[in-house]
Amino acid sequence: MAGYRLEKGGLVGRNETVNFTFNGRPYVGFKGDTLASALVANGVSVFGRSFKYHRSRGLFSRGAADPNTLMQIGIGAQTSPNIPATQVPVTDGLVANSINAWPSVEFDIGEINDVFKRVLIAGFYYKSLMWPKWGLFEPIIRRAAGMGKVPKEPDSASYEIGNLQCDVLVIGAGLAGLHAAQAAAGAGADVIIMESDTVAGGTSLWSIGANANEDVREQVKRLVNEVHSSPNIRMLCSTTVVSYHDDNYLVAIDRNCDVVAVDERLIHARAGSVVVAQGAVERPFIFENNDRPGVIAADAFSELIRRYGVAFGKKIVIFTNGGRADDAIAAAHEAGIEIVAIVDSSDGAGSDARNDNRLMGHVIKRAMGRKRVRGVEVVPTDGQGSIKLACDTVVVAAGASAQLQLFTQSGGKLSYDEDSASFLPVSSMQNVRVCGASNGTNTPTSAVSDGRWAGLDAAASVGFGDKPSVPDLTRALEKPLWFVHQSSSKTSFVDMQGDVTVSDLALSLRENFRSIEHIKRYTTLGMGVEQGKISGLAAIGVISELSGKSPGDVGTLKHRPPYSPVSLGALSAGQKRGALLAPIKKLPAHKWHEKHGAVFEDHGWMRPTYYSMSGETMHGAAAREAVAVRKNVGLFDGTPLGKFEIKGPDAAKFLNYIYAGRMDTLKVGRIRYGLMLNENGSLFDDGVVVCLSKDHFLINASSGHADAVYDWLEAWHQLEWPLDLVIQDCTAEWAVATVAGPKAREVLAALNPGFDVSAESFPHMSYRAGHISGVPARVQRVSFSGEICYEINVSADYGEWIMHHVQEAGKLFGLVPYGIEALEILRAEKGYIHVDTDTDSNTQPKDIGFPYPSKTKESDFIGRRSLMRPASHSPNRQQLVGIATADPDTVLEVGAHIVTGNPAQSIGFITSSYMSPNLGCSIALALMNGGKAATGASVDVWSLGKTVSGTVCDPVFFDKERGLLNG
Amino acid sequence: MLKIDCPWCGSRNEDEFSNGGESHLVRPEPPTSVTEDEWANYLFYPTNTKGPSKETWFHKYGCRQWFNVTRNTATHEILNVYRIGENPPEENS
Amino acid sequence: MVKPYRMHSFAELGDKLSFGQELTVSAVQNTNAMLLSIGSNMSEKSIGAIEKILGTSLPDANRMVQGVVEIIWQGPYQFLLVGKQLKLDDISTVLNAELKDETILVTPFSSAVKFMHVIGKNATTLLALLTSIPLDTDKFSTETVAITRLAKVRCTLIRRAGGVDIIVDRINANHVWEWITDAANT
Repeated sequence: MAGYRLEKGGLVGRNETVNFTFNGRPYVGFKGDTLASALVANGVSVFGRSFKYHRSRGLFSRGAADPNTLMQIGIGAQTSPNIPATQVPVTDGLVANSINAWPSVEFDIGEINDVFKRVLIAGFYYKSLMWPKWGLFEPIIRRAAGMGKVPKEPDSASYEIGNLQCDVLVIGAGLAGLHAAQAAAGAGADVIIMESDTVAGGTSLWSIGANANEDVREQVKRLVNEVHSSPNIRMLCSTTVVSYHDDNYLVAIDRNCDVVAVDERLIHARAGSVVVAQGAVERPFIFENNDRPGVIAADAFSELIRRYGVAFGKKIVIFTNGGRADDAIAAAHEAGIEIVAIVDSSDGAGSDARNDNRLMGHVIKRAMGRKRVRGVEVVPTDGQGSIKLACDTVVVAAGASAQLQLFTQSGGKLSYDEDSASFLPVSSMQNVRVCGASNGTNTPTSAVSDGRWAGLDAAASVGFGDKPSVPDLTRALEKPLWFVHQSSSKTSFVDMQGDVTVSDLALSLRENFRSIEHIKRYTTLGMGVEQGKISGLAAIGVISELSGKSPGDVGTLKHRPPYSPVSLGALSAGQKRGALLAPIKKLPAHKWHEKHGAVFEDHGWMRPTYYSMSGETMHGAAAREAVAVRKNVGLFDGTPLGKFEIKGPDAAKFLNYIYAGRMDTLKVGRIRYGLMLNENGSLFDDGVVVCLSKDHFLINASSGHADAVYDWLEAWHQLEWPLDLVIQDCTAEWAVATVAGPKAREVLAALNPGFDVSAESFPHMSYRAGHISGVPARVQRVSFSGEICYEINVSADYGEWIMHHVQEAGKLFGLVPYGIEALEILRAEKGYIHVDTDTDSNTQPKDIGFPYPSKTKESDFIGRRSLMRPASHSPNRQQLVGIATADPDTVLEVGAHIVTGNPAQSIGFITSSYMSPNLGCSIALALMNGGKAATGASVDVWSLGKTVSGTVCDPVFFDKERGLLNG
Repeated sequence: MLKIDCPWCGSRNEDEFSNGGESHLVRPEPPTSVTEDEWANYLFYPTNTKGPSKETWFHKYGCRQWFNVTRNTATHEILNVYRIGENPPEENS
Repeated sequence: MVKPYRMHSFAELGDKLSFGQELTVSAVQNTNAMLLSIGSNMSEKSIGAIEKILGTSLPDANRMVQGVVEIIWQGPYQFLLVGKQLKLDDISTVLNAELKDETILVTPFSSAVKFMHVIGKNATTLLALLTSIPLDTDKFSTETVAITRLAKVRCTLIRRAGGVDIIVDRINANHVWEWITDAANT
């Protein structure tokens, strides 16, 4: 009811109309409008409702800084909450809705909260809603809190990541930034400019000075043309730098969706040097009802006229503290808007003298109107009296806040400048410098000098050209009016997004919050989407006056990334989603497994948990497979095992350091089980070592730890024991076909590997090399199942072939493929542990039955000293035991506790548990305090309210004599 | 995202490396003559300097070599890089 | 009795991706390779003996050379040898015999590493979506080798005249192929 489109003027395409809807109603705008400018042009005043009090709110500021115009944009899978309307370009078919208002933004039931302002003060939820208990109120508070709606469907937008490098990165393509880029490129540097707005120009898009001279606009046009034709400047518009990291690494979001085939591009940029030219944002004045629709910042007011051809209102009052209103006054004249009055809080001494009939020494005490300003009450700064003026708009020109969020993220330090009443950069931690309005300049001439200096300085710092001298700059002289004392503090808003008032800040000071960081968290100041762009400096000023400290002593809030909101989709572009998120490792024989009914799960690699040919369940299939292995023979894919070759005169000596046991006595062709400990003496990995020759060993590490073991070996070799040896990771080179069972030897014989496979010639824990059908094969006789077992290694490209070939050869002997689940049953029946399943970060070798170090091991090894600690000898340590249930059909839960006493205390827990088909009863392994000494004792095992009786027993359930292995 | 100059591969992003903690640690040995305090000191009490600090880094996604880095833990500035077994070069203030 | 057949890891994905005229990615089938590691204290004399057998001096850091086989730097003490299987076997036998008292290890690596050719004007545009190292010709020139993180895994990149080669661990080859497909489709 107040804003309207001007007949001419602005940079929008008046020939190209755009149709969009807002809160379900259709509207028309022009190409080049933002949602905010188009709505104002259509006379919309109320854009949304505030967070806590649900007060009507309208357009206040511009760009990323506007606190009031958060919108829900789009519908369905593409809907996004909390986007400021000032940053949404209108497009045909755009759907926009207010948030935080029901049933409508014009009539919102939530406004009842405004009536209860006295109770809903800062931190009210810490002091109320306690009785009878918080849990009753929490769901209500949670429903009331939050803004906007989250999409319920998967995101259908497309994203991509780009990596960029350059010599000089300029942030901001206003007058200063463009000059900086041109200067740096002129010195020979490779330059990238990133501009958050859709076009370059910055302040010149709305501010051309009181004399309405076109110099600045022409200058910008010329510069943009030169930038476009310069081969070593790349300019990216619609690209917002959101975070600044170490060593000039910056992250930006590119939303230039017309040009690229993706919706958003995540950019990771490494720059040699950086120039910050982000400009400044108009501050608010803080007075009673300063949040009403119709109160607008001077830069946003001027931008509506000059960039969008829109008048914000018909009758305006301008509120200023000195000279900064000149642009708004000129713009109002250009648009033919009536200026009812200019209220100037300064006293008009000296150079502030004006002859435009402004009310000197006066302030606005109060804005009147609820859904739109209808007038203001003006009072003198000192003394009595009050004037009421009718108007529909209040333009506030309180001074500029330099945008230094990215600069402070880089580690740069700010200091309060009394003259300009703003925080300005004072020292950099990285290769970065600030120029233009974000360095406090307030004229185009200063911005140009500052920009040129910054560009030359940035280029020189990375070896292009000479370092320039620092120019003399003019800066604004401000007499800040932090807040109007005559106003009621309860509706003088400091942070419009959080509904934080002067009264809230005064309360937090009364409650003895001293640090601004604490005040922020107590009042929620600066915690909204605008993140203190408008509210930050305003609050510092208010706190400074209320507390008597200077703003410099109050200090600033710490700025953290991102500078403005980033979609999660864009962030996911670097890490990817779904199947691309992490490498999915498939076995070489994956297709062969599939053909045999493998049901795959992610065990680090995609591996068959079991094979189901006719709709078997996992339990049924695994039981069948485990029985088949012990009855005849089974075939398992052991390819993921870690395989590392160590060769050199010091190889054995090195292995003695790495393992708790002795590897120097391992004979050629023999294999030994080994435990690797960390320096704390705890188990890190178990595996086997094969002696290929006196100075050549092959380590097999468990599949789950392969990468970690490789890193471990290299670290100890390079950092601690740089012995004469080499280490190679051969994990990817070899596929492993594991043949296990009483008939395994027959199968191996049928493969004709070229060596004697008899029990005498090829005993358990030994190694042979040969050929199978001409393909080189290494065979290790080791077992995780307790049966006769051969691990046949061939080059991985033959991995599918070997499984196929072995299966054919094994048909005669009833060979059956078996998966991970069956293997788990078999190894648990034998009491064989999995490190990190049956051990935890405290478990030491003796706890699992390996009393290392042996008497003959004289040399040091990793963890040896820790095994000597008193705690390592305590009889009450958690030790590996078996648990046999009283009822053989009851299978214990993994993680169930072994309990004793009343109230029950945990003295251990179940680590592995299965129904054993070979024994016909349940079996379990556990870690239990003093478990070895408790063998034979009855125990209670508790899980989720149920208690099961059992007996502590030997963890080896099957073939206790260990006779089968040596068959 | 630090920029780290691997002595072999050149300048790379931090996500190619992993950090190994304090450098120039002397592992006490032989075990029989190491007191509990000495061992605990070695395992659990790093110097933890605020300021230029010497640490080891591993070029995990590159040449897989370990090397030393002097890095200012307050500003993250990397002052120099040098090989294992060498002494740090003269540090410029 | 099943006759031996060799299956490289791209088999199920196909081995060529075309993205218009300016970009093709192809997987190389049946490459043959060996991994050579030498001790960090090896004498000049012994290194000379190795180089004589290989027919060229070992490459400097981040370089590759062509001798009787192609030799690609993988670290200060590690080199990938690529060539015909017979030649590699021959070299391996000679090295193991003549340097049997030295700290040297040559192991078969034909299955362990997989090769892709990324060819065309847009090769580096594609790679900029997958890795963060500088790719323009002055920083990454022909026959330069860069071992880096690509698609979150360790890969060796080699700049060639018409594009870039990617060498990746067999275990991660499918994953890198999927990432390339995804990146090139945008």
